Amino acid sequence: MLILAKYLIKRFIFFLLTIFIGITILFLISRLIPVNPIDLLMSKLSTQGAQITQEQFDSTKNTFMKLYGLDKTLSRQYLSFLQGLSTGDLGPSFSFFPKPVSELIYHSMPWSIGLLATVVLISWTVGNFIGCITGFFSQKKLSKVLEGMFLVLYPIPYIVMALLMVMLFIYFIPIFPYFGGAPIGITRAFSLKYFVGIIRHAFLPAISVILITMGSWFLSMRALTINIKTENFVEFAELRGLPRRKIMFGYVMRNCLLPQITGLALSVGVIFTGSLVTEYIFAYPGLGYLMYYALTNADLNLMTGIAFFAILAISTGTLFVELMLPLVDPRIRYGE
Amino acid sequence: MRLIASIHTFQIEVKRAFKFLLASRYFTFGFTVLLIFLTLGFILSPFAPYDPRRWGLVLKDLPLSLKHPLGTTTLGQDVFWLMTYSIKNSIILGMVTATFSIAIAMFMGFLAGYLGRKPSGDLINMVIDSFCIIPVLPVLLILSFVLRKYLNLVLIGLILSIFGWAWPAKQLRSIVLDIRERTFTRTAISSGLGMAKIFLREYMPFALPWLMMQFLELINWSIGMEATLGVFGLSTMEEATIGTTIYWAMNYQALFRGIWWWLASPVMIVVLFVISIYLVSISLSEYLNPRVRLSQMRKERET
Repeated sequence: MLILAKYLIKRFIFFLLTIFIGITILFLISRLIPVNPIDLLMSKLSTQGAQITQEQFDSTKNTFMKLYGLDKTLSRQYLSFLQGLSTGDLGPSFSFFPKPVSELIYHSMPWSIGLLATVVLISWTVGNFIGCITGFFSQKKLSKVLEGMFLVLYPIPYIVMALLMVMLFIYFIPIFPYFGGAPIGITRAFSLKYFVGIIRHAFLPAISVILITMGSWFLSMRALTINIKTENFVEFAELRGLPRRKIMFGYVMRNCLLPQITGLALSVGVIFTGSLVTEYIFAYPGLGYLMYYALTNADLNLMTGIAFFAILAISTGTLFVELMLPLVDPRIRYGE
Repeated sequence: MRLIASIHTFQIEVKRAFKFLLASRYFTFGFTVLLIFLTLGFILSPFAPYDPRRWGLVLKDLPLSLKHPLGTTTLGQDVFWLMTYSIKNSIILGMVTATFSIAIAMFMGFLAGYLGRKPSGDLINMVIDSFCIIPVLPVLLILSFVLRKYLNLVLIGLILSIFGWAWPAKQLRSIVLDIRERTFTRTAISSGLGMAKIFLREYMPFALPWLMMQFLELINWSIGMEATLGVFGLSTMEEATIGTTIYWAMNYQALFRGIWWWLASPVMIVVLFVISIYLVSISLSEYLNPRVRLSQMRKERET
């Protein structure tokens, strides 16, 4: 029990440390930049045609400085930054002023998380399953063909894969709709039509991330399986005359899954980056698209908010995966 | 004399490596494509008849022809020469990113490996892990957004290195942890070798091949990230790069106006580029894996 408790405490410290590092980087970026965010906001106001005198300009600027807490010392700013984040208060958005940033993110978050969860689940399960089987029969022709296919797919950057999908299935062979996350003109309801519409819109963004991620799970699982199937205990199982299916899933796959789960915990962030990019390319209404909106409107507050929620979501996801590990790995439960 | 002898053995080693590597189709394909790209980027690009960074030098929206092998853009650039510049810049950016990232990774990885399973080593390991899982893209986008007035290739490379070092450092740590337990480390320590010397003389030969592979992977990663930043309009706009090309192509709705070659060329070049770098890197790792090499040598002896 002691070892399990130690593991859990360590993971929780890691969870807090990740968030802390992320927040500190964000704070440093937003405060130590050569451009003052208030100046950005003010220049935006004046380009929108607001006629203001110098005095009004200064007083507005001071109000904003106070509102964002920029008139305090750096350490005090950091503390209030932390305080604000811990209560979920990210300040108002510049471009949707005075709507709070958290409300905007709250609306886009479900789309992103839904896409990410689907992608991770499908690619991890299918990739590992195929990887194990092809690794077990590594001399078969089909196994080699699959390996070649994923070797080519895996290194492609997410953005390029998304563009490739747009070119192939929307321009050259137009079979999929382009914009949005749901069909236009149908109200949100639990009807079959709405559901099919959502799937049809999510299919291309999802598949372009899945193909790449699945490649990485497939390749590492295949290598692990090929390695483990020559171990003594597998040979012993064969000599005992166990059915092949039992050896494959009960002996080989079970041992290969552990590093794959640790790998999953570490790469959720990378996959998330991929899905953000894909969302933007397919105009899918998630955080990626909101990020693009914030960038084009010079909305630094919104950007920081999105980055913070992304860090929070990903470290929670990682913690979740790591808490699953003791269920699969008896060594963590009982000690070596 | 010793120098000449070591150069000679190095030559033999390289020849043997090439003999092994060229036997695999993956390596041959990747290596050829890379050579072509290097030629296009560094030998051919100075001979461009029109400066691809300037607009309006050729007629707009021309499809593929002999005079313009990859067509022209709405901005009046020749896509073929634009691509030669972009390849050159991508390679330079990749080199910058990979060099800085590997430098940080070596420091952090060796430090984490040296401290090992002590609490301080655990802490450094956790920091490395944190940098692995923090979602890179939003942070990088903010960073290049606030620095967009100063962006150039080297600065983008530096920005990318802030996150690029984490994965190689993680690998390096596990390599160091592994070789720390072997006897020769103890021998070196008890014969009074300093820690820096142990790293450089005893550990580096083990770590170097892995670092080389990580270098190639980092080049791939930086090409992808540059394209990503470019699509969001945050790559360097004065230079001709893959990301900038994609940005303008999407900005002018190239695909839906039927000028598909404007978008297809950079996309296909990235695809070819990263696949060949990846194939070269996995062939190298196969060559560096002693088990695979042994079985290959056995096969050679039998035939």
